Amino acid sequence: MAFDRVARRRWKSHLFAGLTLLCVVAALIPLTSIVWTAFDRGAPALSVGFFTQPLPAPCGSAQTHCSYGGVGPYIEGTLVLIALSSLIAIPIGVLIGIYLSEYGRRGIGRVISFFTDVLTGVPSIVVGIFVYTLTLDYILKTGGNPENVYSALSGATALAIIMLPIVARTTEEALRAVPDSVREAALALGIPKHRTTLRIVLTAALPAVLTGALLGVMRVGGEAAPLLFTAFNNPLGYTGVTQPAGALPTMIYNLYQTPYANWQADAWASALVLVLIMVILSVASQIVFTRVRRRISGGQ
Amino acid sequence: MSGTTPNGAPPGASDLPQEMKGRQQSSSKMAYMAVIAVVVIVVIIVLAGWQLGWFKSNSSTPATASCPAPVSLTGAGSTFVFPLMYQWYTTYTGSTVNYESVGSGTGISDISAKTVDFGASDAPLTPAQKTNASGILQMPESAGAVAIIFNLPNVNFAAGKSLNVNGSVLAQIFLGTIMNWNNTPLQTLNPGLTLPIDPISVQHRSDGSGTTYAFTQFLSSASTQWATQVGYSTTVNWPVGTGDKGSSGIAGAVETTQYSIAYVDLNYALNNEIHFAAVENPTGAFILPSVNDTASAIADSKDSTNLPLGTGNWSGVDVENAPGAKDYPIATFTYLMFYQNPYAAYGSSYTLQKAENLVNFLNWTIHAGQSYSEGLYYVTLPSSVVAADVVTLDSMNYNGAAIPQAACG
Repeated sequence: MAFDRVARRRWKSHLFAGLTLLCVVAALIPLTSIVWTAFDRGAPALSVGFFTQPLPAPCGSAQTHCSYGGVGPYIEGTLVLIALSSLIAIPIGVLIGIYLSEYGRRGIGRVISFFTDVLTGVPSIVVGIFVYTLTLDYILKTGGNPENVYSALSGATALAIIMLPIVARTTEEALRAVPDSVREAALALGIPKHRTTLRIVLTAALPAVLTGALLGVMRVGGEAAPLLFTAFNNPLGYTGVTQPAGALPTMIYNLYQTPYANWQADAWASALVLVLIMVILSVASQIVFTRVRRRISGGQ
Repeated sequence: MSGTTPNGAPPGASDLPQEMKGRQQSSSKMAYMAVIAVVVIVVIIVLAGWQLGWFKSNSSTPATASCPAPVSLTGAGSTFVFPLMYQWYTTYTGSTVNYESVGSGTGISDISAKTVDFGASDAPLTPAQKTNASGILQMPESAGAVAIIFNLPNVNFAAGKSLNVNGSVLAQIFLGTIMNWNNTPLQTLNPGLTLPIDPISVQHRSDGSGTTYAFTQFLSSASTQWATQVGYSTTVNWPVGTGDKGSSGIAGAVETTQYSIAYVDLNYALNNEIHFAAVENPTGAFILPSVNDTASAIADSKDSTNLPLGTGNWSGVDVENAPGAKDYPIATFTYLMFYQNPYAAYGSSYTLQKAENLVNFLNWTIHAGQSYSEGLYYVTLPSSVVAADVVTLDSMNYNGAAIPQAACG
């Protein structure tokens, strides 16, 4: 009797373990499919020249030899746009998160929190058009040349607006996960609130805050829509904050629409490169986070 | 006091390691902060360097003494012309040109908002769009044709032959009055073929498109019912059919839908080796589209020798149904749009040097640039159209003064 029950429970446990495994596999199917398709269709373009050569002339069915390339400047552009938008969004987002968690837990803070969530849901193309309109309006009011509306800076601003609510909300959640007893202990020792927040609460939550920042970077790294109206395009990649900038997602969008086989292969290979950049960023930051975490716990 | 350590802490085996640990912790934190500070400083220096152009090789090569120093020009619009435009601006050395293929509609709104130096559109400006952008000029910089593509399984064509269609039958198919492949008017055009009884699946563009503009213009001149009921524009209210986005969407739909018919840029059909129909021209010949037969069609069309000025209204220009025996009947221009007086349009920050860069580049596209057309399956402009474009470019001025022109790049 008892044996029966144990066997049944063990069987149930196996069943559910199997089901969760199945779900993991199901979740991995789209990812592997994307990576495989990009690899398969981009294979002819993948070579050293793909990174070092400029984008070749389009190659129609009449030509027998097609060349590939041109991803280099766009990798540069994407990395610079990610860096610029992180410089804008991460400090502001972390400060918003600190306010929401440490100072504004009720009243206006809850209103801000609600609108931060709303901002997360705004479609990225709308953010692009918003930044475009705002920049153009400013330029026209100050009597500048409307052509300056397209720049790396306005592209980074659009990306930063998309990143901001993600960073703010994850920071807030991370800080809230730090037990109140830690804050009380610090305050009881006579440490002022701002120092408690910055040196004790934020430090304890640092790995989670950094994970939030990484999520924000991942979110914007693959965005094409907000860049069409802001960063525009630039075959040279990045040439200055006030100049238009090229990025991998917009390059993929432009090339895939064309009828030329070599450009379409370039677009697929660029998609693969974009996924790889995200994987490298993720792995690199995981290594840094582990170090940070070890350092924090090592100090206790 | 005897028994104290040099730094004044009381002796005790348990205290010492803790103190050391604390010191170690704060020094490692200092190191951590120092690393962050260094990284931030390096990032700032690298960004500043980029800004100042440290990492760019200065390989500007002025062509002749009369050429202005190259500046950066921006253009936006047509996805159709993007590959040709890319070929142009990577070959041309007189200026750095930066083109974003966002679609003809966005190209027109961008040049109207003056956020670019030139816009590109496969359809001309409507009179309303023209009033919206005062001082705007438009000129054809390339041309194309519309191919009729279809999916007829189990129908075998003789070598060099294809499905025969004409404007009237196409209008009836797209109006929904011819619903089956073996319908009499269609069968009559194809005497040697046994067409199936299956219903025709009509596919059309769902997005605004210059290809739709040219195709519906062709249907309007072939059928009064089409002209009154539907008309021609970049988007129309289709009586029947399924919409697909972009040339790739149309081509994909025809490939996967049996018994379907659609229209696509000739350029797209040729590069992807999609089968297309022979279209009847005014002499009664059925012509399979090719770049050469489209070029001769544009040269022969009555409007090509009677083009409006750059400032004029191009929305009535029709280069279809040319009278030549071998002319393909569905031909179309694609346009560049820019301002006649950049100083007045953009303000005093638009330098004469930039205006010279713009006019020299535009001039290059309609002369030397045309030699790149055929290899990419674009239609080379006939000399009558180039002559009209030259008049348009010569009418440009910088705050009233003529803009010096030079052959650069």
